[in-house]
Amino acid sequence: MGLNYQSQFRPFLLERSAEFDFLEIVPDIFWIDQGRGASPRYIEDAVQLAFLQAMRERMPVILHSIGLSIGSAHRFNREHVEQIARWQRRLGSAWHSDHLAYHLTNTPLAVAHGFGSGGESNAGVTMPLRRSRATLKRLTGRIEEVRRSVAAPFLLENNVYFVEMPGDEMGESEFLNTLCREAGCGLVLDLHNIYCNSRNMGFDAGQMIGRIELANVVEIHLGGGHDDGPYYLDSHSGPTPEPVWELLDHVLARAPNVKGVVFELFGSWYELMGERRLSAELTRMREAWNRYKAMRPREREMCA
Amino acid sequence: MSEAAFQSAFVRLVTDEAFLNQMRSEAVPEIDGLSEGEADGLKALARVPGLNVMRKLHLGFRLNKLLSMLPLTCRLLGQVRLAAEARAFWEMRPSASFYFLEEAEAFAVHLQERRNTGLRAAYLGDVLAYESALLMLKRPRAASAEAPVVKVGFRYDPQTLLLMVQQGVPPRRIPRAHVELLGWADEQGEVHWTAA
Repeated sequence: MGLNYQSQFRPFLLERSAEFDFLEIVPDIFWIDQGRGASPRYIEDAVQLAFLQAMRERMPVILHSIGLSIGSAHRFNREHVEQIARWQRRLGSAWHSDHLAYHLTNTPLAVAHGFGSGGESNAGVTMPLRRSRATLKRLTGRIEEVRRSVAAPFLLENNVYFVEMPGDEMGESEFLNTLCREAGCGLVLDLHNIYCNSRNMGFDAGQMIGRIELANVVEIHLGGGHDDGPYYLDSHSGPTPEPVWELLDHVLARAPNVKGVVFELFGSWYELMGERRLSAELTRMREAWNRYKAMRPREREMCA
Repeated sequence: MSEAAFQSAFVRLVTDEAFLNQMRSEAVPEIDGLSEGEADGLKALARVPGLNVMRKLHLGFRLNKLLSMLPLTCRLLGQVRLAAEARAFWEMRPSASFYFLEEAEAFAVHLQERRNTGLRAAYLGDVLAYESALLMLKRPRAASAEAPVVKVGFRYDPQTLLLMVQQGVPPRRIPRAHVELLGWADEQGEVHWTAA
């Protein structure tokens, strides 16, 4: 059972560390990337690192990055891969992951002013990729490069999205299955993202998951969100909704290679959620995990 | 058709209001690298309600950087002035990274410049100088780097002023004072202040 790191709940992480088995961190927040050509490129935060080392002595730390922008068409961020490789060696992360999306592009204003890393702009949100053969081809080469560079299995997380992309050639399940098969990566299956998408785009989450090859799932994400007019947002703002718990049971019973389930909460919502409810969330995750572990192979086959 | 051109234009739909409005108008601008069909696809995207959600998330992400890194400055400005200044800042400076600190530092510079070009807000100079110093002290540094010490000059009693802003009370009649404080961060990152 894993919990994500946010500085706002450091005391919880230290005092209640018996309630979860590993800490998942977004490594990018532990450094400042000064941009291409800068020396040093990355300034690592000694204060935050000291906290991380203290946690590392208690439990495994898993890297879940946000900075790769693996789907960016204009360039591949190899410097980021090298930095992740260094951190994987440093922390011994058993696997590492990023998001199946892009956020870096060249926009005219950024290029004109030389902002960002060599005139790039950062959308600040995970932008959906077109599900096409061309995208698969671009991703496959990059994933292979990541796998060669970082000495741990690489996973990508299914994205949350609010629009259907023009030029999509396949559905999300087929895209994820093909990507894993052709590129050799695994999945962080974010069940709350699927729940969000199902509500916003109008499909059945269970049916969509039924089409995913669950042997590719290595990690599962849970989290909460909130309504915003007709939309439901993946805001990591509170407890996991009931339908997502049902999806978790469904997936745990059928995914043979899952190594961990992580509850994600944004630090700014911690005070509102409170220690007690966060703790209850972790307990419920462990109960679900234990149900899955306790199942005999025959029973699992029956569910499949 | 260039995927890079498409991605760039799609990001602009989310981050660039003027471009979005152009794409929602009848006359779609010509975009290098995009076919007519691609441009039509983007035009259709510009009108999808879900795009407004993405835009809201993008703006929320940027605003959150300012609110969390410059809380007193934002509170002092109030919603209307903050919205106007943030909008002007964003129009000039696209989001360049995920980092909160960089954006907050750049916004602090923007406000400083705007103080010289017409922005009027009582006590802003003191509050902005204080929070700019905090940003400098919060900047990640390697273990080998020497911890910076920052001097901030106040024209008004800082204790009364900062407390009132922190409590959400519009500051009024703060006693004038000529105070200089030295700030530094300890090994745990906690910031301390002492009289210069």
